[in-house]
Amino acid sequence: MLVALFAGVCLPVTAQVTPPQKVQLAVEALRAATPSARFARTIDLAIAYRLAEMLDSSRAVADRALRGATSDGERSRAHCAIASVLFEQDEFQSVQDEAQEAIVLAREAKDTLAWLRAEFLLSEVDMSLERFESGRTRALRIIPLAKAINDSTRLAAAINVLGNVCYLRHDLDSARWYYDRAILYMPDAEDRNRAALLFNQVNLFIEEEQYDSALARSGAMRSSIMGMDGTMIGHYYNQRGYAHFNAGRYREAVMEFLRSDSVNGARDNNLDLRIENTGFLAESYAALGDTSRAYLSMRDLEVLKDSLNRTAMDERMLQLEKQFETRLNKEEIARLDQENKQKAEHLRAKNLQLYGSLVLALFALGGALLIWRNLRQKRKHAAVLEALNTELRDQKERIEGINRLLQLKVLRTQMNPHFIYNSLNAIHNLVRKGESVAASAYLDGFARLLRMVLDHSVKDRVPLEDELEFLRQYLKLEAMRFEDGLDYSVDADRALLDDDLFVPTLIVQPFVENAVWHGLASKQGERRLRVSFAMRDGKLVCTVEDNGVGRDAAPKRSHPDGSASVGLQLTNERLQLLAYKLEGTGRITFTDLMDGVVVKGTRVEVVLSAG
Amino acid sequence: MITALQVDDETSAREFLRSRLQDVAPEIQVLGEAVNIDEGARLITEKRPQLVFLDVEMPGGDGFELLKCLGRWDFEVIFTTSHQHYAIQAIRFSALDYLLKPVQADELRAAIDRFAERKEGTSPLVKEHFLHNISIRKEEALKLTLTHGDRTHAVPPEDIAWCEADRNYTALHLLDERRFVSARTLKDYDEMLTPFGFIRVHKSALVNRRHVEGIDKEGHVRMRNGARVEISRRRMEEVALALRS
Repeated sequence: MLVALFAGVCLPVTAQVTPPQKVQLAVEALRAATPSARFARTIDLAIAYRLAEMLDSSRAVADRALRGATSDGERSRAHCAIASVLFEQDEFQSVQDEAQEAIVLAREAKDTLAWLRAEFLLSEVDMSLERFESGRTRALRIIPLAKAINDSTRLAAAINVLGNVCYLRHDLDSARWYYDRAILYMPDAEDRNRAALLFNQVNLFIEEEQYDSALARSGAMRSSIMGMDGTMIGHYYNQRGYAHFNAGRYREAVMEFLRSDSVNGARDNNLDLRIENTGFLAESYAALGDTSRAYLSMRDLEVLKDSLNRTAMDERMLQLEKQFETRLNKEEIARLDQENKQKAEHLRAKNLQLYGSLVLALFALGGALLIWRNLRQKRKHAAVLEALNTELRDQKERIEGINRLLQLKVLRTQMNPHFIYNSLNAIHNLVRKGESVAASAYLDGFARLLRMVLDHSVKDRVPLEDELEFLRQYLKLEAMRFEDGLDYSVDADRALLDDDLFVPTLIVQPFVENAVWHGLASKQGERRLRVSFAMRDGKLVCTVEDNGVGRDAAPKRSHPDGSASVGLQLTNERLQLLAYKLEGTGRITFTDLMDGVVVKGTRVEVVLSAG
Repeated sequence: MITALQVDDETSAREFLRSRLQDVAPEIQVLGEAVNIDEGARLITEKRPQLVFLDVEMPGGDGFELLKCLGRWDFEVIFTTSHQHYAIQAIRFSALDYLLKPVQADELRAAIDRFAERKEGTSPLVKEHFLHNISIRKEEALKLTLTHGDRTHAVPPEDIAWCEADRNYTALHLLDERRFVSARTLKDYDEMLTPFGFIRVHKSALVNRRHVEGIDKEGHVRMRNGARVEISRRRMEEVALALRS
């Protein structure tokens, strides 16, 4: 049998998006994925790599997916992805192990799709190893599964396998019956899989020596084939040439083989196809008595076969190089993962230690940068490493994202400890003075505030109304501690409240606290504080305005002897970081309120809108 | 006079609630206090109270366990809990009542008033749904208890297409075209359903992201079941961002 039999489902290549672009898209999708979609996107990336023939990257990503899988269904899919890579690498024994594992897990998880995929891979292994009986049995098992989940592509492929088995046993009538049936499930004329089935049908006619029927059937698929890639078009002409050749029409055969060779050479340059074309050309010329051309073709054939060997060697070398690079890459990813984990634990354990977390964040950033630079230097095989770099950048960005998240968490989970101690002191004093009612009221207020802090700290945003209540509760407690009182108000535009708007949590409170303790505490006379939320230029803005001593005076008065209390420093540190973050995006402004040259307060405006 | 029992392992918490009850709800007569669920079960059978204040987090079996053991109960329950996300979700999903510790006077009063309003008591079906909700101990498996007239349904959040505020009520639109009206506010549902991928698109609308098809030109969310839900101008950016990710 000279013409290759199409084994089954081809790669789902679409004309619009090239495999490397798909890799790029998959990397971006993974980067944007929510935690719940992360696994599915990781698998997508593994598939994209596989289709781009970057098998080691595909394997690495699939392994990562397996480690990150949280259910039997997910584990099954990850094993499937690994098995698919192994299949491309002709590691059939390992494919079987992985696929069997996948089947057990898929059945456990009642995941028909994963089960189907694994069975399908096993059938492909069977066919590749020419274990036709086993392939047949497996195909029969696949059919009901594919029907159950309406997977017409794999259903058709399974029927195609049955057809191929019959074909190989020269049971041509049965083969035809199966091929006809399989085509029914492949209605889309643009589908490569349908084209593969049609090729098989044509093969049948050639095998039956019905060359005109073969050419007629082949001609009928011409228009849909022409929209596909060079390899498919090349196969199309090659098959026609083969039909003519067998029919003894060597002149026509030469025409078809030349067409095949030119399309293939111009577009995809599939080496196997070129060798086949050239071999047939040589034979055809010889049959036509054109010995000089036959000789030249034979020489071409020699060169091509040589280059096939060389390509195989080059491929092997490239593979080894890629494996080497991937191993380095894997180690680095593992290290980054490790760092990540450590950081998360650190944060949990020592939530209060802002410094520690910051140092870690710098470490991770520095580490990621170092690795990135390191990799840049190693960029020899531009195409391969480019993709590896993309993957690493993806990692780095993820880490930076986590860092930002951790920083924000540090920024807001904690009430200033100083405030907590002060509150406890206040309660203590009330109890000592025997003012149990006041102590109880203070305690209630304190408990209510802490509860709100806890509740808000696990959320990104809360309703504006809740934020107002939280700030009021905070100021109520602060006001209780000023003997001569604190005149405060917390308001928002009616329209904002009516709209049930949400605001980021625990961002405003530090500024309010700052106004109380550094603007108003050391001030003589009336203390006034206004917190208001309003819409300005389509953005939600919070304004904190006090009639205190002003920014310049505040630090000096706060520590007259030059030493800072721990609480004060923490507040400042937190504020500085917060202000730095907000300032970077132009979202915060400080204004000194002046009465001539006399400072009469400070206004802080924070933009709270997203984006 | 309302007869009540307290089940809580912490002495100070029991004392605190007792004094709070004396201050704000003198009509409550505390018949006894239990320090664990075994004692709680015994006291309940013995004293047959109308109301039980039941702590959720206790060593040697939590408050949920107690009700699971009883299987059926003819008293009303007000859970007391510290800040514990899963427990609160389970209680809210089951339309039962709870108080956050330390119990605040006004919140306690409001809970007692709600108890007094529930003349015929919690229906057996609501209790059954609650037992189902706590049997799996996974937030994703929680089902919402919805009462519709005299009927009670347990609805998994993924079956809800979107929720619409109707003054202080909320209309829940299900995928299968059913519509339930609940006596809770949209804000309540917003809080409960956010972990399930619901997005607030308007002050009066909350949509289930998994059933969103896209945003159309007029700035409405298009739902898979054909519904169109307006997005408020102020939220547009945020909603678009949330739907994209």
